Amino acid sequence: MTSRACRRTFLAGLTLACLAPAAGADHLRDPEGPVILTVSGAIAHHNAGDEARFDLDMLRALDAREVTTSTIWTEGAIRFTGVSLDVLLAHVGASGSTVAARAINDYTVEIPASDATPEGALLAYGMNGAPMSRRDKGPLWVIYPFDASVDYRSEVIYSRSIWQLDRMEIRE
Amino acid sequence: MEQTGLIHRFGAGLLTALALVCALITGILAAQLAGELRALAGNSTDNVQWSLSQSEVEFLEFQAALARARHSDPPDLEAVRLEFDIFYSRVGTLEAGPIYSDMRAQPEFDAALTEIRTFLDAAAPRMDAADPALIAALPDLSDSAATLRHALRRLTVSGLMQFAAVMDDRRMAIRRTLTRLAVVALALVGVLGFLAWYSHRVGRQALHHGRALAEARDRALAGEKAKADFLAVMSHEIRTPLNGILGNVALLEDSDLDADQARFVRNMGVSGRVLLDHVESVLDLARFTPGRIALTQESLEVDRLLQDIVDSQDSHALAQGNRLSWAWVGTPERRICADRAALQQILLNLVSNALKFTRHGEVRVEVEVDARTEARGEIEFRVIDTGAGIAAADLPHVFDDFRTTDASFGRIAGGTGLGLGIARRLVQAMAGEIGGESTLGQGSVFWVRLPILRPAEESPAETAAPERLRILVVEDNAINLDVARDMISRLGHSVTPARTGREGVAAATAEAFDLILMDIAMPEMDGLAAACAIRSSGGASAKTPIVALTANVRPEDRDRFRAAGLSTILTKPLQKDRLIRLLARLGAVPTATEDTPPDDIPPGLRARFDRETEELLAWLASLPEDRADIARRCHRLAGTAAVFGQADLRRALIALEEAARAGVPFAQFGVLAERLADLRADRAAPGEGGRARLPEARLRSVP
Repeated sequence: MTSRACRRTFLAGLTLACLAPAAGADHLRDPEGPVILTVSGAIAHHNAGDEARFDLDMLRALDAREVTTSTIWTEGAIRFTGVSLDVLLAHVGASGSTVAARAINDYTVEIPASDATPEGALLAYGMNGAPMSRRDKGPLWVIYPFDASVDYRSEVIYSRSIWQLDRMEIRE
Repeated sequence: MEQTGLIHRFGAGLLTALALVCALITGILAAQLAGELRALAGNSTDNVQWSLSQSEVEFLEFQAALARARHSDPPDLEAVRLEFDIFYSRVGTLEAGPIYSDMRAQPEFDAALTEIRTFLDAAAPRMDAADPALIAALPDLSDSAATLRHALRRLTVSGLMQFAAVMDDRRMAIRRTLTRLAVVALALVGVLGFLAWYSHRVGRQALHHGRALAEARDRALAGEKAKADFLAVMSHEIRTPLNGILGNVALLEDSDLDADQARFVRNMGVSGRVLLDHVESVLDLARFTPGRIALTQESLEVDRLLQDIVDSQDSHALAQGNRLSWAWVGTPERRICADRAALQQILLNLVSNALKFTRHGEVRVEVEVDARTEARGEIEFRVIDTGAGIAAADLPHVFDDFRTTDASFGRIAGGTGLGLGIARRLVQAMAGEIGGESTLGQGSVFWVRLPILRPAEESPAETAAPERLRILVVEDNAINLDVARDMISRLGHSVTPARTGREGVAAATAEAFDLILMDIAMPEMDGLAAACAIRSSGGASAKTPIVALTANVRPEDRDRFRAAGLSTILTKPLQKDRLIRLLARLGAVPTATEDTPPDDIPPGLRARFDRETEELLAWLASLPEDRADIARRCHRLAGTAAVFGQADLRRALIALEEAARAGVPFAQFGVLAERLADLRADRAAPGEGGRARLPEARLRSVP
């Protein structure tokens, strides 16, 4: 682990433990469109029992971030738009160390909370300005800035780059 | 040797270059390997096998969803659409992902992918259609999917085969690189090992050479030391008998001789001293490199010096029909300060050299003093001959050691060829110059220029008031002891003789002497040990100056002598002038009352001496048989005779003692006994001016 990664871990822990939810309330607003992401586990804010459910508009309402990078699964550089994982975790008041992410084909992978940094993992919902269909690995695809650093071009990071994401469980 | 060194250097350079090349190749290979490993580590392949097998799994899921939809009511169309989309997405990855480009280049893989794409393109509008249309299309989709199953199988199998081949190639490449790296590394290790061995060997050789060099040096030094030791011993062996000769000549000189005899004896003395100086010069040549010759400054009479040399060489000159003379040029200088022995040696060498090459001609010595200041000046001696001369080509070499101009030299002149070499060394040591000019057939001029000190006219020592000293002489050699004893008594001092170191120590402990003369080379207790014992005894003479009497003095000896408590050194044979100078330094000068009995001997002692003399003479007249007894009694009385200044009697007694020791038939003692009787007759008429003379001719007739 590089010192940079260490610092990232520390910042992420700080973020998860201390940051207040953006809404400033325990109750998140309810989704109006189709639910594309369900967050469960160690979270402080919910809107359906102990889960937090999001439709596309709710995610778009959060601070957006863009990452332009190529991937090993697509051709050429792509401009991804989405919500930074750290922003989303803060929004639901997550306090765990691990995010168990699951795709619609039941592919599951664990993403450490340390990946949730302002420059780290991105929950992309747009590709080159257009929404991502399921056939284009949408509606949500965890993207890392692969081109930005060799640290993001490892098998572990590729395995965390889960597409067709629909669930996240925050674990202690 | 130089060539070997060159090869060594060349070999070492080659090996070093080889090692550098190996290191370079290792570096390149390591970089290459690192690149390959990075390609392996910085994984751009994802899990290709996973993705391929997953495409098949997802297709089966899609087929299963289709089957379930067909046989259930209402059909779960959403599941069908989901599984289709998942599969669609997977195929899209296989079509677009750069990591599958190699696979797509495979015709079989590409054909299968095209077939799948055709299906997807056809199925997609139906999936997107309204539910009833999709329900209607389900059987057809199910059939198409069943057909597509084989294409999917071909896709995954060919993909995996290709992937395996690629991975194999990559592993092989890494293996090849690793093998090359290992080979080069081995070579590098080998070369380095060889270099290490080589440098070790060179180091050992250097060490060996160094050791051999050190051994050679040690051997050379040991050889030099052996030579020096040999010379020192030989000098002792030569000088001890020479001491006897010179001492006796000196005594002879002081006896009553007619004019001719006096001249012969004086010439003998001069030649003897020249012989002594020769021995010393040879030793000097061997022992001293220029700059290490120890020179003394003493006041000497130039006239006397030159006259002595001319006198000593006169017979030699006459034998060759040469005239030998010397003369002042300019204002004569009575005395100069210089090393007498060195100066004498130089001039003697030049003169004898000139005489060697001159037949029926003339050798002339000119001397000239250039008085620069009151105290300093320069003296020049010129030895001019009318001899054979020296060729111009040979002239520069005549001062080399062991130099003779040609083979005939030895035949004509004899000699060691050392003469001019020694002269050069001495002149250099005296900070002077020496040179020569010559014309073949006409003659040569050799000149010497020396810086000198000009002493004040009279030495105060020679006018100092007389003082009588008590002197202990420790000397194992009977003749040397007698000579020393006699010489000292003639100078008006009293002598206590000691024949061994122990005797000397005993005497010095019992009595306070003014001076102790100590022979160095003695059996049992040598002079150094005796001097030490006297110094540490705390006895009556513990503080008395002790002077070493020795023939062999090496520079390193002086320190040893000083350490043993010896004040200074008198070289043997003991010479009167040197002894006088030494005594003068001690504050005493000779009274020069030769054969004059000391005034302060108590009358009782005198009477006893007379009685003992009478007794011995009477006893001898009875022709005793015991030789040892004769020798002992003569010896004892001879010592006493010396104290009383009875030189003639003493000498006669010594001659008798020697004859007795030598085992001369007693019949031949007769002459000696007769002589003693004469002496007794002389003694019977005291006050008579003409003291009895010991006729040398008669003494010599004794075998």
